[in-house]
Amino acid sequence: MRLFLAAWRLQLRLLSRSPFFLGLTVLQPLAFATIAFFVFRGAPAEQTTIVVLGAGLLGAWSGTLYGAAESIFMQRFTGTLEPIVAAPSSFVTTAYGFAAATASLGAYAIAATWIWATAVFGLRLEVASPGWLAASLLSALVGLSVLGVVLAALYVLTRQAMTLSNLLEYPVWILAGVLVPAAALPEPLRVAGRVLALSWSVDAIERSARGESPVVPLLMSVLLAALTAVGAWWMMRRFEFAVRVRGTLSLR
Amino acid sequence: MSVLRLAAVSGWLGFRALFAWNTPGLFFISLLAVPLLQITFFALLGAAAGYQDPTFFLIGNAVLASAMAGMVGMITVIADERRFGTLAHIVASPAVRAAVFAGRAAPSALLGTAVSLLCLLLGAVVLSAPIGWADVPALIGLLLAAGFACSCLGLALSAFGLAYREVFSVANAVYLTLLICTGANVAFGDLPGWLKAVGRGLPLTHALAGVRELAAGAPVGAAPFAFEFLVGFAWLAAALAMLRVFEHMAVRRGTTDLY
Repeated sequence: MRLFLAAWRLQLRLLSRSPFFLGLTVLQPLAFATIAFFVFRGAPAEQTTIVVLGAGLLGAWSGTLYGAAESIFMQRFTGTLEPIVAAPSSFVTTAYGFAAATASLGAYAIAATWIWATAVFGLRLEVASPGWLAASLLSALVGLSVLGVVLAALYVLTRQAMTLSNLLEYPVWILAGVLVPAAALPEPLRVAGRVLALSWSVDAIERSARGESPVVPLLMSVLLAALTAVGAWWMMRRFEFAVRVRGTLSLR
Repeated sequence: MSVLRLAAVSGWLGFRALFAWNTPGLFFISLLAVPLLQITFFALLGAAAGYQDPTFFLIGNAVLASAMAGMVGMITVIADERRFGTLAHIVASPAVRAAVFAGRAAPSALLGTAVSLLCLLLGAVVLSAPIGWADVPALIGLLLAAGFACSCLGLALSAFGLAYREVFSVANAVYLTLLICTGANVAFGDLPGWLKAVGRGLPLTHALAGVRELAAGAPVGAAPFAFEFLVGFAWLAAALAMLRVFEHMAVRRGTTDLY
């Protein structure tokens, strides 16, 4: 736990001082929220609230995606990846700490979008069940954290982390229904999105905003996040072993 | 003549050395896949809100693709010079820096134009968009103008890269501004006046208006071409001035090899 917290604190401090990441987690959701406000102009307050939260989650995913890539890329670039992997402490725990830090920045994105909507656009946002909403948002950030570890495992294996990040941004936005409502997606995409914990969290967030019970999607989100966490742990161990055998860990 | 040769050689060498040629497959996939995914995302968003039709988002985001490849590609080239430790050598060399960096812009502009054209043609097939073969020369002209203007903007932004390490955060902010202000995803007429004013000074806005006219079957006059090139040349002038200022600043502070 101490290692996890140390990794989380270190990465959070690094990312919080990076103009690129602050821009990514704050400016990007604001830009997409602005477009969405024009596109959904005249929509009821309940729909606007969902759009605002969706735009925030959009930024949270971007932060997780690029944060996971950047954390491994920079360790590799500065030559510190090998000592971290070779250290007797668990690299998987360190990776979880890094991923949790990038997902924590997602809270910035959600808060910034909310402030932008109310202060700049003067929108009236309504949440029927604030307690459930907080739980649903937390589940979304946990889901993003574990997905960040899956990404980190891939980035340990391959040097093409940044290119992969570019490719993965839109598919998850679409499949999880963060800004485009899942109901508007074609059936195959909607079904594919259901394997992501984030899509269930988005469902729970929408239900909380509307005052419906989010218990089932929330439980599904937690279950899928737990399964993803186990998968991420397994991947990280396998890939770490593979790069040690191949001697490619430090290649960049 | 030697300046032109320097620009051409710089562009060719930079393109070969810095454009991810060690994994060309992934490079080309990302070049095309990202704009296509972006078109899909915004088309779905528009469909969910009942705003515009998919062709609107196809055209907007396909033309915007030239910004991604042209502008961001341009910035990446200069940022990578810094990361690989070769920026200080370029700055220290007797070569005309403006020519070296401007030469880097040409491949990005051409790539951006090619990506936009491919996205438009692919999208036109999928969505049966009204862009016929007869429109292709005008379309290429407009996309070239947009690619040129975006690369000039990229060149101006990359000048920040001489003195400032986090140039991608500037690029990201400008790209998001293009996403909103050029009429790519929100109809230009729906934007408030001050955002329209910003958009008119940015690359893409005029070319995009021309492509939309083309898709609507209207004859395209010289205005969209002329205004797009005008915006491009204005950014080129700004870029050349900024390169001088930021190079001087970087040399004085000794920050060219920091990353």
